[in-house]
Amino acid sequence: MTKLIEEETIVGSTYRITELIKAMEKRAWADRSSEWFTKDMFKKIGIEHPDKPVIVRRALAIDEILKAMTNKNLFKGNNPHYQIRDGELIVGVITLGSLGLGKSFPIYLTPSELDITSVSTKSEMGLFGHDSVNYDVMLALGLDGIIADCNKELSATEHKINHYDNLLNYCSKVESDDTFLKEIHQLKSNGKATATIESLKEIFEEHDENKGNRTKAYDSNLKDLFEILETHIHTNFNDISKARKSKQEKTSLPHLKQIREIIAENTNILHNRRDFYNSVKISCQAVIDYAGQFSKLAKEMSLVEKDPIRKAELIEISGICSKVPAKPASTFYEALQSIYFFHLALHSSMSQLSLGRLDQVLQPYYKKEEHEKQQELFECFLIKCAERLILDSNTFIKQDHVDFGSNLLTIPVALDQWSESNEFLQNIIIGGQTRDGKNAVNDCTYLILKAFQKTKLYTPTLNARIYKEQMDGSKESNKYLNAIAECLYETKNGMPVIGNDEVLVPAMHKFSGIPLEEARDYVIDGCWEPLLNGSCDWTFRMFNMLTALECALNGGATLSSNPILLRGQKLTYETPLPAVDTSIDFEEFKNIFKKHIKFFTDNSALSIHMLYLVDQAVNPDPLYSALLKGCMKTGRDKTWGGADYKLAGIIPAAVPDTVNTLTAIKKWVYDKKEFELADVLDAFRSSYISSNKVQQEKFNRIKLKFQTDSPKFGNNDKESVDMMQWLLNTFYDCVKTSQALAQEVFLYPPKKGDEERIKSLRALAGYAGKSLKEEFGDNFMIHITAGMGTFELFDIFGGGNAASADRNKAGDPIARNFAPMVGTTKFSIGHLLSSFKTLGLNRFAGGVITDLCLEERDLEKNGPEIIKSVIQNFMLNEGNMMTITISDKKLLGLIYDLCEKNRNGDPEAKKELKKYEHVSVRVGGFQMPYVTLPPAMQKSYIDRPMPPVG
Amino acid sequence: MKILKYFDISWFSSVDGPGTRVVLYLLGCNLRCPWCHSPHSWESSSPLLYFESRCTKCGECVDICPNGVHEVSNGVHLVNHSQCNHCGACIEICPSSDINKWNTSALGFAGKDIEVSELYQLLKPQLDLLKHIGGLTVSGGDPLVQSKALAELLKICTADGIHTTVETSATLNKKHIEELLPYVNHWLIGLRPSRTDKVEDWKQLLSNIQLLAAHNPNQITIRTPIIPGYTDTQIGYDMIIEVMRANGIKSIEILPYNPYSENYYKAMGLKYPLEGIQLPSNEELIGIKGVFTSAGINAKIIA
Repeated sequence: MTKLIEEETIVGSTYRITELIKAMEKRAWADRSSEWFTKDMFKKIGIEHPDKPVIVRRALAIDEILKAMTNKNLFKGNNPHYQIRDGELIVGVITLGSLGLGKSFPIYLTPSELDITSVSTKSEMGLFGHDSVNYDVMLALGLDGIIADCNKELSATEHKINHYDNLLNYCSKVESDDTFLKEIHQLKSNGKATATIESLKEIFEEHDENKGNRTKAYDSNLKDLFEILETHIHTNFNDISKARKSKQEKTSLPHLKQIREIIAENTNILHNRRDFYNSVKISCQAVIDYAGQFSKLAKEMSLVEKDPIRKAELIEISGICSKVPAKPASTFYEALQSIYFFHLALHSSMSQLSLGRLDQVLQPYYKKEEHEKQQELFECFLIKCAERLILDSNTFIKQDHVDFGSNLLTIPVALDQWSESNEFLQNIIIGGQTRDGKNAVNDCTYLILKAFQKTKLYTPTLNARIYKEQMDGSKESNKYLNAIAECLYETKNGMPVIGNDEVLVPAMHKFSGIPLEEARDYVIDGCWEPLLNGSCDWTFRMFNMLTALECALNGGATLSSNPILLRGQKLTYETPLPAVDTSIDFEEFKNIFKKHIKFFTDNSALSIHMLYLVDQAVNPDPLYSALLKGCMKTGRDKTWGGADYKLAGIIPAAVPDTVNTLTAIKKWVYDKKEFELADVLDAFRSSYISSNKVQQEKFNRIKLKFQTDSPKFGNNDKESVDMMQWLLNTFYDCVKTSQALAQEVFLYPPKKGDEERIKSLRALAGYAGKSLKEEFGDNFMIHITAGMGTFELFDIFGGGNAASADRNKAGDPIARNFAPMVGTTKFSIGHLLSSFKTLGLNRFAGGVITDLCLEERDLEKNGPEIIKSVIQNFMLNEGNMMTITISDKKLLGLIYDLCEKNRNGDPEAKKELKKYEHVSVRVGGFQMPYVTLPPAMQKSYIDRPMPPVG
Repeated sequence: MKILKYFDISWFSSVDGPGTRVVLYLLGCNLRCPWCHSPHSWESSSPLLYFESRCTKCGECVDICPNGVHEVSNGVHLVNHSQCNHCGACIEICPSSDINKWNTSALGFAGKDIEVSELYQLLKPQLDLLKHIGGLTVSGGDPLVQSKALAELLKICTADGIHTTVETSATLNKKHIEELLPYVNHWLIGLRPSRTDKVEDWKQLLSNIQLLAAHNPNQITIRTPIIPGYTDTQIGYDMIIEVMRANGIKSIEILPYNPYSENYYKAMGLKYPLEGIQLPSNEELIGIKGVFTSAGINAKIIA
């Protein structure tokens, strides 16, 4: 460890990188609150343009912030965003902000929209994340190319809008169906009828393309109409009327009103499309303009630069910024700068998205003979992504810019803001396989791994995918696995995260219905959510499995100790109380538990569908949609059905705790009958503490048996593995059943005769709209994936639970992600990993991540070799995702003490702490500098290593 | 299947044989070396261990014990080890003890009987993980004491392609070694001449080494703990060198004395025999290593 703290330590592959990292860390330890934008620095977009659609206002807001970021006059003439720092090769500055601290952004909602946000729980401050950009399109076309596509689409759209306006005009002049037919007849005599019919047909086909969801009967009705018109166009009007009447006996023909509606609706879609392409244009142009400003700045700086080497660098930077991202990139340098500009624009405008499979994207620009230069450039790029770092937690409160509507989702999730204060939701994915199942590892895979290993940065999060050919023991495979293991060993901070292709690809393809090619191209974003590469829009819902268990044990109520709630906080259905009704055996109890699990999966699946339409009204994302597959083609924003795929994860937390508690109850209450369930529940409620001596003794016995003499997840014993299998099967079944329900109610148009029932079910949910397929077309689908984990929310989730078999008191944190509860593992990592083998984790495309922590002392001799073996063992046991951090109990204890002193304002401690800023730990969803964490969480990390340090 | 008695398992050891290994510590030893760092492994069933630092002095154990082993007064907990009949009632009731986790408990027995096949199942997940980078090392106590049952375990390991190592002082009759020989890939032989050695032990050891070396001298590593006042003599080093040369053994590992064993003696109510002994310094260790390397032996300090 002493190596870390020496002033002359080299971090990164060159001195330049060391200097840049040191400068970044110096800024990170300062109070950065004055670097934040305040809303009064921006134009009031929502007030200035109340008549513009929200997507256009959002685009204008993107333009506004990018302009503000390069405005020399702001920040008293010293705008921290408009600077090129000494030594930088990649330029541009992302605004401060994170998941935990929020962002500053121009107000683009109108006053009345803002009023409505009081019920929507999501405002314009809603952060995006959890989507991944595939930059290959941008590098190939340049943003100019995308703007050109927009212009092409816009002129076609304008043309159509005119055409439809004319038709609608025409249709609205005719008074009735009969006059409509009469008109057609007259047109016929003028020789124009056929043209009109063609126009109408075109509209209906267009409608078809947009919707593609009408029932067959409706289709044939329209077909009938055209047939009649065409057949009888040459006959007289009476015949047409007659024909209509005879047809009507069989089916109801579409009437003029219907035709008008369809034309109006089509025109509406065209208007949306026009708004969309305009917004994409504005947003993309804003990024190009931003780059132009940096070209200018670099040029200005080059004129006064005395050092000839730096001068040349600035001139080169200026040239590159005047070219990309407008034009296609032709070198590795240009590609990186181009990606950074776009990434910067997204991350400064509320869209905190992933960088994607950068090894695949960059490889075409990579030149072997320029390896060293490219290595340095990539490290410069990483520093630019990481430089929002804020290390002194004493300054967090001053920099809290989160508001009520800063939700990631359309429903609020309580966040652990402190621990997320440096989480930027940016991931890089390397390795794995290509879309056609070939080995994807290339030169850039190694370049990226090396950059992380050298710089030891904790963000972006690096994810390495592994697939079967990389496990074949060949020289090539070992090179890849060794490089991963070395990086993990050197950085100690969990980079890279491991994704098992052999589990995640089938989870996506076979169990979630994603086409194989897309599944093979999966990426990771947000914390560790598996997504599709630049082609999906993602959302998720979480629930607490331990809460579901409490509800099952307590007739739909939590095991709260608050007396005014009587039995407890009522959350789900009232079901028979197993503590009272002794006829309920354990099997029956499991059936009851299933009902409560389904309550939560129903809630998740239904709300995912029901609230799909909310985002487009508040957080459209034209900048991301410019690159998101599907949007440019359909002319629809990602929030308006534009993305090729819509993915939604249902992620329960506390699955390990639930298994631990369930097995203990089974063993001691149902099998051995040593305790009454009522006593166990009382013990849980009261955190095993009683003022009554007799009861306290009973609680002590329950606690002892439950905590120390019951099977616990992670030890590979039959009881806990069987229980985990049952729980996962049950949860997975519930997700599938809930998905079917949600699809029936919200996705598909109601079956004939079922309209009223479905309408009333929708009304019950507070939804009055059409089915999503009617709204967006037959291809529209939300793929629901199941996953398991806590992300960083293990403290917050546990806060709502009573004590359990693995937690001493109410409110204690739950187990992290899909890892054993700290202190419950008796054996070793091999036992945990081999308990995965029979769980069928390849069903869970929502991700099931296990965070391992190894003790540094165990790895002293054969570190990388051991890590490699752990990875191979994880792969062979069909684990889903895994992180490996390396911890040093003593060191963490020492840093914790220093942090305590710093929190109490000791300046010496703060100085001393700077030595340890590189020490990161895995916080469920991401790596985080240890020094920045909340005290309780810091403390919990000291005892994490597995096997436990004696 | 036979029963093995073990008292500990270490899941990630990089100092007990080639690579990274699971180490199984078996109960029972025929020697009573004063520097032994696991006195609780001497007998074939563990004595009651009492770790003062984990005890809350609640006194629950006092009443439950039928033999009056425990006395708690004025915050002092006295344990009369000789009275204990191993019923385990005190461990059961103790709020700071878990019968399955003696090494994190206030009270405990450091031993467990387990059927060989069950033991193998217990070890297997971690052995699978370490299969290509290490294997299983059996230590003790002295594993030769339970050679019959151990042979069964090692046979299964060998059949599954798991590398096996046995660490022994090799002072028991050669039949124990012959039982294990077909299933052992590597031997760690304790060789530490000291004036407390018994002549017959020494003779047995030499003949056992000859037996193993005749089989394959490359499969042997000598291990020598450096215990000031006992094993750190030039005469001793010379004897080791002679034995190694005579048998064609090329490697030795030098183990500095382990100062962390005192608490086990305390836990057993025994006086710590090495009280006040100073750890050998780094320089001394390097010097000792030099003695061996200059004799053409591969020497390594294991710290």
